[in-house]
Amino acid sequence: MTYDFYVGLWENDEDDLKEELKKTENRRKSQRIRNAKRMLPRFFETRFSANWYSKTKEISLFVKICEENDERELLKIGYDEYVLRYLSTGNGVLRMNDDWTLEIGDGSSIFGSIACPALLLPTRNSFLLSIKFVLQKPFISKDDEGFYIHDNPVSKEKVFKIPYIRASSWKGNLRWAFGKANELHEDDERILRVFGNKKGEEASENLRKGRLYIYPTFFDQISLDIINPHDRTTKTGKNPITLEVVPKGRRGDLHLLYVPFDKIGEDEREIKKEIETDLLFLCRAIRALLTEYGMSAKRTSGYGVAEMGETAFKSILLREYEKYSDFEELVSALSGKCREFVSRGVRLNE
Amino acid sequence: MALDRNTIQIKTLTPLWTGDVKGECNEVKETGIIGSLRWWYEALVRGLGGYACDPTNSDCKFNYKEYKRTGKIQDGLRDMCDACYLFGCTGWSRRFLLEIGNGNPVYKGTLKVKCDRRGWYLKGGLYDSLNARILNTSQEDRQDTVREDYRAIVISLLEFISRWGAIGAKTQQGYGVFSLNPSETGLSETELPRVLTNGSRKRISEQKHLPHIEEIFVWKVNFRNFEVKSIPQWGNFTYNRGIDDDMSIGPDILQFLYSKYDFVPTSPLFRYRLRKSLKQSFNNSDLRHFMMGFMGIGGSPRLRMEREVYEKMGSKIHVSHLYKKGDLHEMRIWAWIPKYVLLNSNGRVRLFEKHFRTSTNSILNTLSGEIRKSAEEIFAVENPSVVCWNFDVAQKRVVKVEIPENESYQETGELK
Repeated sequence: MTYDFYVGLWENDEDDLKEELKKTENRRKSQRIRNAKRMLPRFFETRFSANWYSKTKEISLFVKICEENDERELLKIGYDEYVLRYLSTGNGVLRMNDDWTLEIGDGSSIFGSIACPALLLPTRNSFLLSIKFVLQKPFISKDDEGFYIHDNPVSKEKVFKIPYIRASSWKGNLRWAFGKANELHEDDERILRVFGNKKGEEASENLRKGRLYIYPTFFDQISLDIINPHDRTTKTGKNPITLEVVPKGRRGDLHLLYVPFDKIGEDEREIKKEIETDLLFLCRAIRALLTEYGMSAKRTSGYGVAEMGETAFKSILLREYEKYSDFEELVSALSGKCREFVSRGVRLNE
Repeated sequence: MALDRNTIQIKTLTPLWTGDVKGECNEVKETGIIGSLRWWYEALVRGLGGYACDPTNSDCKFNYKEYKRTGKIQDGLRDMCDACYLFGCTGWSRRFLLEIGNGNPVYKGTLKVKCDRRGWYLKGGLYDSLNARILNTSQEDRQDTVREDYRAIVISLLEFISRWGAIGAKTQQGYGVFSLNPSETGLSETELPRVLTNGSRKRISEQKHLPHIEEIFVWKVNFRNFEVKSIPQWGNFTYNRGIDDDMSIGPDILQFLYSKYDFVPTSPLFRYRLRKSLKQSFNNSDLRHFMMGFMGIGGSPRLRMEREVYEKMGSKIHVSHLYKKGDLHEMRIWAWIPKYVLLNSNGRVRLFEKHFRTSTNSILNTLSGEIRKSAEEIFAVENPSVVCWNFDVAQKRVVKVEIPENESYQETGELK
């Protein structure tokens, strides 16, 4: 389901918008741009659909059918200013409440923190790990939306069009970070048991589902960023590239559910070591991914780095770790336990 | 950002500018810094005989098909230049990660500098000891990966730029000069050139008109004792407060900036005098606009040179503000004086001296003379040290330049 089917341009709106653009028709370009920045965001906010995403679609539609290059350019400038003025400030999109639930414009609350009593875990040896984080640098991830006013929209959830990190993105990046942070080869058995087979191994006989279930992360604002590559001959910017981003300072949740389905019925004392090891390695991977490498496109340019916050851990078998609400304390406790394994001859890093 | 073993410190000597989507600078944007790094890296690579594409018009890519066929990374790298190998291109990610902490704004309004009837508006920029985290991002465990310490290369590059150039945007207007924590170790002076052109992959000949390191000349002006109050006689400095008033800045803006941030925004004064000097020494407006940059002429964004038309062009002469470095006061001016000029039709390239009827030596002579004279007058100092430096490709290091006698260009077209 997309909003494209429900987007249309009313004749009145189209006429009014053209009238707005014509107001500075014979003025200098700088004045036309100033007018676009001042008038168009207000026009978009008050005239087009109430829903913000439909609004952007209507603007996109108008840009596509617009014949004049100047008008197209002014609309894009007006849209950018609309994002910076309204959507970046949290007005008109969503609101993140203090309890980290997301609220859409009509007040309905969705996508709150996953409240999962331990008894509802799938198996005794499963665990649920939830980590709150705050972006220190903007987050970028390109949407696969084709019909949009510019070329680089941030990824949005399919139905409600809320900016989010796809679960598949989390999985791929966590898999990479799991190997990097724990110095494991990409074919290591521990990676395989947590994440499953690599892509492209469908024909292999050694097929195996991973134990980890990953949920998407939702955000509540979008903003814009810009990159301006410079021509080497003239040393001037040629074609600035506008990117839609989730701005820094926004909060998100990472939820992971670990279900060792292949160990059901086995001796819990034996599998507990394996689960603790997996949990420790996973925590190291999450810490490396969020605080060192960044969870975003363009992360080599510093995007996507985050600061970790409150942690929630739920498990029946590993109940002793539920008391840790600080991530580093949880990792410390796990490291201590795993050092015990090592001293007893259990090798972790093979 | 906490300090760890991957973090180095970048100390700004003049404010750093990286513009955002609103045209302001409230935080450091790494993409702007990486762009500067890449520009200097390309100039070094080309000067040392390697090949570096223009990334705004490049077909460099990782040849995945070839890599899949042979299983060797080197085969996939054949369609990639030396600069894209480090900084990334289609199918090949950057070999390092850079994250820089945020600095503090110098001031929130605009400083207007007037000299004669000309005026310039200088926004604040950022100033601080910035923590920069640099990590290798390549996978060491992959076979056939060319293993280099990319972090050391980037640090060496930063060290080089900290001595001879500037980073970020608006470097021609004085921004972006910095120093590095001296305990950092990159590659030595002899190792860096070797690494830059290690196994040059792709080679295309036509890059003569792009920046080469041997075409870049750096003047460093040094002196000790100096009075800030001597400067206003050459320029009128007015601080226009922005929406967020910074009440701590009084009417004596220059003294405030010098006392608090150890720099004085003198770049516009020097640039004005250099432009005037080029105008007086060479009866050639095209040359002046080509070297000092232009936005447009007579309301038109284009400059017509010998029937060739140029779009808006950035300045090839970058003038820093005056800054304190230990006990000394210093400013640096670096200029790219190309040997070849790209004419704007069908990629034709022509010798600079033939196109502008003058030589590199003449320009060096004029600039050197004006820099010394301006430093003496604007800063009211006697006999400041003015030394010109240039990268010697044969020796693979930066050496002092002895400015030769001025040359004249006669109507026959021959340089004398």
